Amino acid sequence: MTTPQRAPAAPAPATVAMLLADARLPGGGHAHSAGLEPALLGGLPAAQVPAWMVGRATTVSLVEAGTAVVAARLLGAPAGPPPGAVDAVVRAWSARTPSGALRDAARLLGRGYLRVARTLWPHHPAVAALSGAGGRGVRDAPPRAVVLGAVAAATGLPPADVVRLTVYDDAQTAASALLKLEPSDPLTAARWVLDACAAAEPHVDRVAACRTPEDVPASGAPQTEGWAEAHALENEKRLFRA
Amino acid sequence: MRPGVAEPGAATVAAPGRTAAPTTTTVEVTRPGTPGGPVRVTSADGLLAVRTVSRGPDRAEVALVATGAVLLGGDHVVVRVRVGAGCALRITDVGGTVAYDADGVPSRWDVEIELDDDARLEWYGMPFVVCDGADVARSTTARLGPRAGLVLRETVVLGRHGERGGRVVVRSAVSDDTGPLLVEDVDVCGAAPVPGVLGGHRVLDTLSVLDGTDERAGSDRSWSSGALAGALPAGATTMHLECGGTVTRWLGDAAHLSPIERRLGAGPPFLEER
Repeated sequence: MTTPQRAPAAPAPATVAMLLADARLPGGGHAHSAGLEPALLGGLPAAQVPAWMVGRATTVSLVEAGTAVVAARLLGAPAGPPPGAVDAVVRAWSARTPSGALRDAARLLGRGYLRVARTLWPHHPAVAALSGAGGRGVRDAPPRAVVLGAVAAATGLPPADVVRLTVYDDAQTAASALLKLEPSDPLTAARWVLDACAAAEPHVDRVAACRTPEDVPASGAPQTEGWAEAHALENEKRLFRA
Repeated sequence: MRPGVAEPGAATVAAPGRTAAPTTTTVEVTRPGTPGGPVRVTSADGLLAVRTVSRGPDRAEVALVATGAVLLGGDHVVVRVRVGAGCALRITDVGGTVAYDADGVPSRWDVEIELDDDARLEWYGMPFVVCDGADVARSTTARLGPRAGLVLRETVVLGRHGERGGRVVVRSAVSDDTGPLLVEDVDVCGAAPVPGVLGGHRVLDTLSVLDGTDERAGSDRSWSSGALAGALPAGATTMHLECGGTVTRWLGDAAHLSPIERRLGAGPPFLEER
């Protein structure tokens, strides 16, 4: 044997990225619209959806992406996750997510992702470090970005791919919801997903380089936050959790 | 020579010969030197001057007054505020601030706040208008000691009447002894509105009510999340931060229409209800 054997066989990081981005993975994402339903109910004209998707890809998605990158770095440390790492990342994320409605939505998604992570990578220290950390009171799950970071640490997903996966997943979630909320040609929505991802591309290296919780981008979107808060109080008109 | 305040109509205003060196205004309130006397107010003027309005045994009020045309391209205004343990300070702006058309030359406006244990600061800023051609980085950094309270009103307006407005990054970073409470960068440009950030709105009006964790008292944060909640204006979005405190926000088209403006005009100042 001239090549060292990998035992047990591990999938390539790119395969893990495809799995995580695949809507057929039962992670709970189908109940979310990545902010689209709150935006439309809040008055966003349908014609502005592509510009809104670009806006997300360059603001709130980068907060999530940076959170995942830093979580992956801390939880994937060669000596094992340092004590308090998860709490420090969650604290940084929550300070950058002023809307309680958006924090709740991210934790609901985190719960679904956590089930995936615990089932598929149950013994990895990065996944184990999520237990009992990152929650506050009844909201006892870390946000999705932190769980994604743990999965990235467990599977060797490179930071730049963590950023792209986060941006893509957000845009594709919105595009998928759009087909239910404002039915149109699905390929038009696919075009908008690619446009949003392209708009984030100049930010990928910067976000992928985040090392500490302080490094996580804080690019806010006040109108999105206002829509999310109003939507959380809306009981009758909504199809999606957030 | 700086152009006078009376000539804001000039198309492009720069500060000739001004380097990026900051001009710093400081104000510090500390306990009285003699028992029963008024608090001590120490200040130094920069592009903004400090005028003491009143002093009492545990509190002071000061006004910030522009000493010339502020803000011009190349200007770097720094305002440093420190409130000592157990003291309270109220700051009022005497007028709004205009970031003039600087033909894209960047300017900075940095506020650094330090509140010691049980200190309080309320700062009711007047509108900060970002004209076409202005490129402003505006930051507020605050460190809150245990049980310190901060009420901050910040109104950013894109453009004067008939303008779309220039570019401004509004950065807030508030922390206490346990870590960050609020970290936010809002990056907007009147010529390139982004749906979801401000959309087509020109006014970003924010009232932040924050307090420093009292680790001895555990999770009891009744001040910002309890009594004050009823005082926050309807018609705006109030967000409850994870570590306590609120950010109330209104996006609109004219500062005088803001429900935050109505609330502040109607009732007693927040901190006196503490």
